[in-house]
Amino acid sequence: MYAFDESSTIEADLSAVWQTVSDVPSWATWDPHVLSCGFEGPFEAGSGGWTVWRIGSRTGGYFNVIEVWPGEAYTTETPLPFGKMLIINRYRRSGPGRVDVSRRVEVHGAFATVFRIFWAKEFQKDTQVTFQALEREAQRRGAEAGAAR
Amino acid sequence: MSDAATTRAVVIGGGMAGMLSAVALSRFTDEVVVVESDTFPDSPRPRRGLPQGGQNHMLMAGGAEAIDQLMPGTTPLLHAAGAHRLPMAGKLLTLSSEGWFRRFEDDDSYVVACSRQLLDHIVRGQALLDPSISVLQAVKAVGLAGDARRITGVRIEQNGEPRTIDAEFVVDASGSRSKVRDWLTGLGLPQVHEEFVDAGLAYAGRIYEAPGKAVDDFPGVLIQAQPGTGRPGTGGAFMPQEDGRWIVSLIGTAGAHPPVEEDAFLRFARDLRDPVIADLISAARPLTPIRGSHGLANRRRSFHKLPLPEGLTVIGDAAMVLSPNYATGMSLAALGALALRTELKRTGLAPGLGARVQAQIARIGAGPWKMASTSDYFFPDVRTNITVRGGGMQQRMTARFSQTAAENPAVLKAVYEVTTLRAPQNRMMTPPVLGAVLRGPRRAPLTSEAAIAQFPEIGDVLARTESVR
Repeated sequence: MYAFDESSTIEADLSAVWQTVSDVPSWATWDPHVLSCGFEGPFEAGSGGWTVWRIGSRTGGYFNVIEVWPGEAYTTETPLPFGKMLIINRYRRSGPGRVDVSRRVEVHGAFATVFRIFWAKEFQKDTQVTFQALEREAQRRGAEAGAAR
Repeated sequence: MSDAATTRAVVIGGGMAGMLSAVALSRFTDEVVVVESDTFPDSPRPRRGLPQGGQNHMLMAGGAEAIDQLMPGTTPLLHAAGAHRLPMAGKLLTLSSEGWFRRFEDDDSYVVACSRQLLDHIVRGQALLDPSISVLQAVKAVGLAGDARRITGVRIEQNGEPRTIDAEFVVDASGSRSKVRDWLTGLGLPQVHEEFVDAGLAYAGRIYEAPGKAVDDFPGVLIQAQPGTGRPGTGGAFMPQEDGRWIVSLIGTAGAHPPVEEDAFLRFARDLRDPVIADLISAARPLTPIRGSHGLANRRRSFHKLPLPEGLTVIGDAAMVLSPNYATGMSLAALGALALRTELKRTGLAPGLGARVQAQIARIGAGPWKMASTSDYFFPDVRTNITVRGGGMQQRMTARFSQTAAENPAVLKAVYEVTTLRAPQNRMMTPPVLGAVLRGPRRAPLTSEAAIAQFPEIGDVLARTESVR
């Protein structure tokens, strides 16, 4: 298995962060890492979708949501040749208007070496870009919700 | 440049290409200003700046999906407002140049059928939900600011007063009558080469009230023009629209323009290779006059071959316009805007952005251009400045493809995926598809009666008319 972890603390409300990450069809609108995406069904275990990442030559693929802890965490599983990729995302309030975000990427099976050689470095770098974009989008959504009230 | 604290993009043109480009830019600049010479209605109504709005429009699946990537949830809004999702395999009765297509189950390749006004209204409404996008209406763009190396803004006229809007990035989405080529030569750049293929196409269209039960889930009908016969091409499209309406557009190339007079319009429809459209509209009540449209040539402008100044890209019909017969305009505009967003995600506003987007737009348009230009090239009295090499061979190959597609669902599925811009042209060049085409058709072509019988909804309406069939 190959794995990496990334984490950050972002300035946003946890509810806005969760609303942003659980709105899968909109990922491509705010996350530079995701060029395009699709999703069927509610955001719960068993639903699935696809993404195209900007790293490599527009790699990506299908994924299934295998675990959701509303407001706290979700995990996706992507089938790979001779293996699978798990992306474990966690969100925890760390203070007023601050959220600790983390992502663990695990690649299981024979494809792990290929992933490590060709994609791991770019993917890990892009994860921080995703966190920064998530902060901006959650702030935007939070402000919109505030204005609507 | 704009104020030090803010980055700004300017989009020239507030149509489909302009609004979608504004959305693509909105996450990468602090503000996006759309400059539009027309004024927008507050409901799906005709407007002066969209003269073709009264004709039949189709949003291809690839374009619809691109719009949903840029603004998730837009096509569901269209459907909620009455737009029809018509799978090409199951909801379009099609008479191709080589015969009737067979109906089969496939939901992947579809068209969205509704009025152009509804499409624009929904897309514009979605785009303008973003507070960073603003529109200057009734304002004319009159030039570019900057020089041959870098564009720094757009010169406009507002209430007769000239001024310049500074911008880090400018998108020209002002349509087929764009002045950007002249503006660029004015800055000292070489003339942008334009290829054109003009088969002298003209349209005549009319909207009808669908009769009784033929409102929901009614199929569309396409009668395609036949190139390469030595005679002018004629065809027609019949599509369900929102609010229980139908739209019919009749087309004809040079020498066979569809008339806009009542009786002659119906006669033209009846004289098509099959009278099914005439039969359908004789069961319906006209709601509008018959509207004609001319000047519908294919034009491709090679901005991607220019040393394009930094800070500029040209998108939509301003870069390439195909005859509306191919129904790709809105969809290619959406795919171009998506390409803009993709490049923005890769490099942000870094140098070379405009040129990279322009190259992508040229790549996306290459297949549709080839398909449209090599088809229209073979109508009589065509005016063009391109040469199609091996034309006879291409025509025979296209005919063979069409003949095989008419009876082989696997081949037809590939044709539909390419036609609806869900797949590139090489989807039609896979070994199984080419093998089937080389073997050729294995079944007799469908008769008109058998083709129409595939769609009982149409048969029900025809049964209530005094069809001369």
